Amino acid sequence: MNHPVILLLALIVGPLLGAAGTCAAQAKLVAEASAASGVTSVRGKRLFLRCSACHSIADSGVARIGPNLQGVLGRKAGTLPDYRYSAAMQAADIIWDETTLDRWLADPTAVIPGTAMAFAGLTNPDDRRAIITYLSSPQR
Amino acid sequence: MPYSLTRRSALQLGGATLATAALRAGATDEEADVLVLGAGIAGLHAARLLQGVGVSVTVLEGSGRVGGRCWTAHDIPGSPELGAAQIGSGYGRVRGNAAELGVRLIDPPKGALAETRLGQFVVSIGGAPPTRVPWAESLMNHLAADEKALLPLQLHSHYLLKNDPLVGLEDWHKPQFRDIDEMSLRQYFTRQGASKEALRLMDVAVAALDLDDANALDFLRKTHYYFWEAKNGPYHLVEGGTSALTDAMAASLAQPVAHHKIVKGIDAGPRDVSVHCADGARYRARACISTIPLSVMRSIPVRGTVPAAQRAGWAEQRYVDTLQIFFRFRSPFWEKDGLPANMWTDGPFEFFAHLPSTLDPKGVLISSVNGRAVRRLNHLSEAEIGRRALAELIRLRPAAAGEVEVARIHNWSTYPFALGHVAYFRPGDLGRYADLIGTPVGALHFAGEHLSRVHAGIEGACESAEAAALQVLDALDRA
Repeated sequence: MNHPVILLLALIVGPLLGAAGTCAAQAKLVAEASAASGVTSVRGKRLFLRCSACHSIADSGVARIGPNLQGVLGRKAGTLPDYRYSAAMQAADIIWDETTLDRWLADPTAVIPGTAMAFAGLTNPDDRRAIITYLSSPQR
Repeated sequence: MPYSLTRRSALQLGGATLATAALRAGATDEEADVLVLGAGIAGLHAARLLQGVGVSVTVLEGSGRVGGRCWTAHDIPGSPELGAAQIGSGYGRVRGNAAELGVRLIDPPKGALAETRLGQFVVSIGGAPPTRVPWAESLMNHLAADEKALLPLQLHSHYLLKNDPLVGLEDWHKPQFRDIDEMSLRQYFTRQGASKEALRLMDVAVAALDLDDANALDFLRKTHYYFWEAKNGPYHLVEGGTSALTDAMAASLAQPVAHHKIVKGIDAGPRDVSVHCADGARYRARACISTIPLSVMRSIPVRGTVPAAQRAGWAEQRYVDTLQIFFRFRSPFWEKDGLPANMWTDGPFEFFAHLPSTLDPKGVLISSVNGRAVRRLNHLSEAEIGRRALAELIRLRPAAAGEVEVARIHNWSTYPFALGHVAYFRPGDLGRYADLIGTPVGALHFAGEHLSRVHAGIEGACESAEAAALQVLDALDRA
């Protein structure tokens, strides 16, 4: 599981280690930060495979049984114009953000009883965070 | 991208192991990243998923076709479905495949079986020919007063949905339902107040050996799922037949499915799997997903660290016996005798139906038998089975004489690549085995409808395939 971090760091940081002083240190920090979120996004992209049968995240593509999740952060639940939501989802008074998505992904039917989304939830908070990170900036 | 680097570097790291193993095993081994055993919808879904993230997959299939228990029989009049037909509203993975591959889904034609209302079915009890008298008022109907209006085929869902304690689709895993796991359908239905006659009729109709062999929780959770799904939307059919979807899935694979690869042995190591086939071919891969039905797999030596309880689970898995007889008919005899074409009986051939077909305006005339009644026929030749089915049809519906002949028989129980139709569990076996039978054995993973946890049917098969594919990806990362 650590291979992506190690390899990414090695590629980015390696050539910079020869450069002088603070430049290299800053680059290393940036590299570590992007590597850390890179790890989350990599993991998020992997976890999203479980969602991708029903949810697209691309600009265009085939219509799936779930709504397209591109730009879902900041969107009010149940408001995509050309998707047929369940009555429960349409009635939900929720704006999707990191907090509400975290609750939703932990236990969808507890948040919106009557949802048509057949998913029991992710018990691991790191997994939920990874998916939410991926949703906010999907890697292409 | 980090993931591709990881995979490539992991391959390099693993290369040393593979090279040594190849020297040991012989130069004729074929190597792959991942092997998938079985080109049914589970195997095809797993292969597509893995291929989609850059893994090279080799699918080995024992038969000469793809689809497994998705099988549109174009060589039978009416192109009937031998297996899965209905694409439920909750079938996200199945529908996702169809959408990606441009395979259209269509509404079922009018008169399709699931829309059946009372008036479109006649019943024969005790060998008596059906009559025009409505079932609820018939002298053949010995059901209790509060059951009388129910057709025999409706009794199961009536008693499973009555006082259904499940809410969420995964509730059935919770410990508070263990007591239902321990019950047979007979015990469960009795507790729900089913009469003796209702039990007798349900024993004939049950998609299991009999009511005593059927795990109440297994059947309850599946019925609960289908009911939940039906509330969310209608089902569809695959345009051109279900095989149009599985054919398209197979065609989308970078490496064509390898056919006639009958698996004779699997060696499951911690970091690689070796598969030997009847034609002498050997395959080795860093991971393997077997979607072979347990009815077949339990006869294949699987060498690896397999807990005894897991092997016991493989040995105990049930698959319902299903036998189908397909007829050719000259004219619709049911229009001559004025009774509905569809007939349910408590006799040796429990079900006769005229199914509309989207591929043939004439439709399909079939008979089917489930469970114990199949075992009484298995020893007979197909010709004799067909003769008896036709004789029974003509005896009950004399208007069919001279109009109908047998076209084909399909017996799932004797079909070597399935040895049964749909998987089910015996009382107590969900608690005993459900969590064990799919546990990976080293680099050998498992998928198939028997491992579904949320969905049922072919969506359940795809759900398990997705889980196995993700396990494989995680394992490849760790290598």
